[in-house]
Amino acid sequence: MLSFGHDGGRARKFVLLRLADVQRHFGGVHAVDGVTLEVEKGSIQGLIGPNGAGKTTLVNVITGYIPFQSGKAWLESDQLSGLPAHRIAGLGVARTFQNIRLFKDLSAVENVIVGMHSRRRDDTLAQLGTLPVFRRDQRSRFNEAHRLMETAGLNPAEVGRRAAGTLPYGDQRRLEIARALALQPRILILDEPAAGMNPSEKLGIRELIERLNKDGLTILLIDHDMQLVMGVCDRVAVLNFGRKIADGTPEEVSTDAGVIKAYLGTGSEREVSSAPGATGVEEVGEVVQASRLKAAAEPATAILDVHELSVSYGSVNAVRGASLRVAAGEIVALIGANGAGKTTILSALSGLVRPSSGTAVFDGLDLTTANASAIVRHGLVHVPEGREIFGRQTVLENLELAMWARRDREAGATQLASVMKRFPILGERKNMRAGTLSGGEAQMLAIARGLLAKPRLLLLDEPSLGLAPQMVDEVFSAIEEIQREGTTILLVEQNALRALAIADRAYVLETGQILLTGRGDDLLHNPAVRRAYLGG
Amino acid sequence: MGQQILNAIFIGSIYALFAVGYTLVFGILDILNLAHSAVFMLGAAVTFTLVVNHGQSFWLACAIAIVVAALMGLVIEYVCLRPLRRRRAPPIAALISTIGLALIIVAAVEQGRPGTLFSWLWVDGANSVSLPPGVVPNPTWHVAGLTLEGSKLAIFPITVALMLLLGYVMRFTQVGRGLRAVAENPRAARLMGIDVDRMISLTLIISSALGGLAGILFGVALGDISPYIGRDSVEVRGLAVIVLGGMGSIPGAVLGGYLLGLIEVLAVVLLGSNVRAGVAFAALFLMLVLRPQGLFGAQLKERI
Repeated sequence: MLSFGHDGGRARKFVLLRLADVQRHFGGVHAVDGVTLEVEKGSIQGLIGPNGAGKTTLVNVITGYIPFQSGKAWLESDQLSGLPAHRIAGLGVARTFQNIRLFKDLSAVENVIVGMHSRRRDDTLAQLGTLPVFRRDQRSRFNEAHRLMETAGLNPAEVGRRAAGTLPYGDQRRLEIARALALQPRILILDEPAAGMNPSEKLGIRELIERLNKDGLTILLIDHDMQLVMGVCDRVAVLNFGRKIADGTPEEVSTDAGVIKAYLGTGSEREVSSAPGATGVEEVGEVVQASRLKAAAEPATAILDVHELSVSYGSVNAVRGASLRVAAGEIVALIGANGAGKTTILSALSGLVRPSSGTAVFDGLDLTTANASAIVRHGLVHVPEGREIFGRQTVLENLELAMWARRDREAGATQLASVMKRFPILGERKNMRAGTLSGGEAQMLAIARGLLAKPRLLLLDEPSLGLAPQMVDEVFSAIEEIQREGTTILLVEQNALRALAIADRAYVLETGQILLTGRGDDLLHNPAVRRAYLGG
Repeated sequence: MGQQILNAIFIGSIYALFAVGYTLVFGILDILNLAHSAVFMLGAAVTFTLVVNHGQSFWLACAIAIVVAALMGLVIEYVCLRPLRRRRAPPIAALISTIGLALIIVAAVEQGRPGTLFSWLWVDGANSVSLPPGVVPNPTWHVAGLTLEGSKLAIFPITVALMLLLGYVMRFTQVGRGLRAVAENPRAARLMGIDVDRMISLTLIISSALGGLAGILFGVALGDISPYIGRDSVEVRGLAVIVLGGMGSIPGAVLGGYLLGLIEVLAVVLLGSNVRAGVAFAALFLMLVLRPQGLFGAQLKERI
C-alpha cells in the first residue's frame, strides 16, 4: 500500500499500519472518537496525550483486545478490524502492556517461548509429544528465546531460569519486550515501556528502542515521558478526548498551540496567549536564567516542611527525594506531567501511604509516622483526586461526616450553615444522595467537606479534573476565597496555567523529583514548564 | 397451621438476628466471617454452663454470655482479620482464618468434660443438652387451639426492638454515618479523620453480640444446646438469608431471616420434615439464579 507523504523530506513513504476513522465508545463516553493515523514502515511513531485521551483504548482496539465499533485498520494489505486478538497477533502485531502482564510463575525463558506460540500452526499435538524430533524443536526454541532475551538486554544465563515475577522491575519490562519480539512482529506497540523507571533505566529503554528500530522494526510508542518520546520518535501523534489533535515531527508537535493547551490547560485568554513556549524557542535561555534568580523565594518559616521525601510502590519509585515548603497563608501549586508523583506526595502527607525515606513535618507533627486520623485532627486535610465523596449517603450526611474529627460541634454547625451558603447548590441538594450530583457539584461537596474538617492546611488534588469550563472557574474562585479567609493551600493541578495563575509559588515535578520552583507568575512564562510536560 | 406460622416467626427471628451479624461484617469488610456460627454456639453454651454448672441466675448468665460473645468479636478482629488486612491479603484468606477460629472454638467446647482443661467452659462433651425446666420463666397460654409459650413469644419483640435500634444507629447517628462511610470507601473515611480500625472493631463487637444473643435465644426456645448448633443449625442458613436479602443489607438480612423461617416451616407442613435441611439450599440457589443481588442488594459491583 503506497501513499504520498507530505513531509517534504521523503517523496514517498510505505505505510505499514493504517487506521481510518477508528471509533470506540463506552456507553456515552467517546474513548476513541474517529482517529485516522498512518505509521510508516521502519519508523518510530509516537502516540501521546493527557490522561484519559484514549491512547490505551486505541491500542486495545488495534490489537483486538476490545472489538472495533466502526472504522478500519490495515497492516499493509491485511485488514485488522474485526479479527480476534490471536489472529491479529498472528499477522505480526505485538504489544507490551502498561501494567506488566508476564506469566509471573513461569521462568523468564518460558515467557519468551510462550510468545512464539502463535507463529507455529497446527502443532498442538506435537507440543505434547516427547519424541526426540520434538525435543530438538524444543531446543531450538530455547536457543532462540535466549537470543531474544539478549536482544532485549537481558542476560539469559543470569535470569533465564528465574520466575518472571521475581525479576527486578526494569528486567520485567525488558522481558515483556523480548516476549513481544518472539512473535516476530512486523510492528511492535510499546504501551508506556518506561513507566516507573529511573532516568538511567529510561536511557536503557531508549537505546533498546533505537536499536530495534535500526534493525528494521516499526514501533508505535506510547509514553508519558516526553524526553523519551520526543527524543526517539520520527513522528508523533497527539490524542485528546479521543481525537487526534496533532500529528507531525516532534518539533512541530511540541510547539503546537493546541497541544500545549491540551497539556497545560486552558487559562483565561491572557494566559493562553502567553502560554510558555507558544511564542517560540529563541527566548528559552534568557527566561530560564531569570527564573533561577527568583527561585530562591522559598519561605524561611514554613507550616509544612517536606525534606527529601521518597515513596515507592513495590519496586517502583514514585517520589524520589522531593523537598518543598509551604508557609502559612500561601497557595502553593504542585504541577507536573502525569505520573510525576504529585498525588503520591499528597497521599504521603495525609498518611494514606508511608514514605520510604525523608521527613515531612506539619506544624510540629511528624507526618511520616502519625496515622491518618491524627493528621486530620491536627488540621491537615486532603481532598483527594476523583472527589471520593460517599455516593450512597446524602449531601448533608457527607458534610456531617466531615466534622468527625472536630471537638467543637457547635462551631461546626455554624460553619456548616455558612458552607451551605457559600455553595448554595449543596444547600438545595442536602437531602439528595451524593452519588446523584454532577461532577462539578461533587467537587464542591468534596471541597466543602474538606473545609468542615477545619483545616489549617488544605491539600487539593486535581479539583478541576473533568469539569466543564464554567465549573472550573467556580472551583478556582472558591479556592482563592478559601485562601483569603486564612487557610493555607497546597494545590495539585493538571491545568497548570490556571494553577500557576492563582499560586503564590509553585513546584514543578518531573518523574518523582522537583525540577524547578519559583513564583507562580514567573513560572507561568517559563518555557521550562512546557518542557516538563512536553519534553523537547 | 397457626402454630406453624408462630414457629416460623420465632425461628425466623433467630435467623434474622444471626444473619444481621454476618451482613454487618460483610457490608463493611467484604469478608464473610465464618467464625460467626461459633460465636452463636458460644452464646448458648456459656449461658448453659453458667446456669447449670456455676449456679448463676439465668439473666446474669445471659448478660455474661453476650459480653463473652462481644469479646469474641474483638478476638476475631485482632486474630483473624487485622493481621491479614495489614498484609493486604485477599478476602479468601480471612474466610479461611475465620473458619480456623470457628474450628478451634468448637473443638475447645467439645473437649469440655469434667476434669479436663475446658471443664469451666462446658462439661457435656459432644452431647446435646437443654436448660432444666423452670430456669427460664415460661408462662404458657392456650388461645384458640394455639399454644403460646412466653419464652418463644418474647423472641419476636426482642428481635424487632434490636433491629429498630440498630437501624436507628446506622441511619441517624454520627457513628452510623461513620460505619457506612467505612463500608463505602475506607480510604475516603480515613481522610475524614475516621479511625477505620476502630470502626471495624466496633462492627465485630456489635455483630458478635447479636450472634451470641441469637444463640441464647436458640438454646432457650429449642432446648437444644451442643457444640455443633452453630455449624448445623445456622451457618449455611445464615448465608442463605443474606443472599436472599442482599449481601451487606441490614433490612435484607432481617426480611430474609423471616422469609427463610416461613419457607422452612411451609416446606415441612407441605412436604414433610425430611426436606427441612434442603430448603435453605433450594432458596439460595433460586435466588442466585433469579436475582443474584438479593431482595435489597444493590446491583452487584462490576469488578475489573
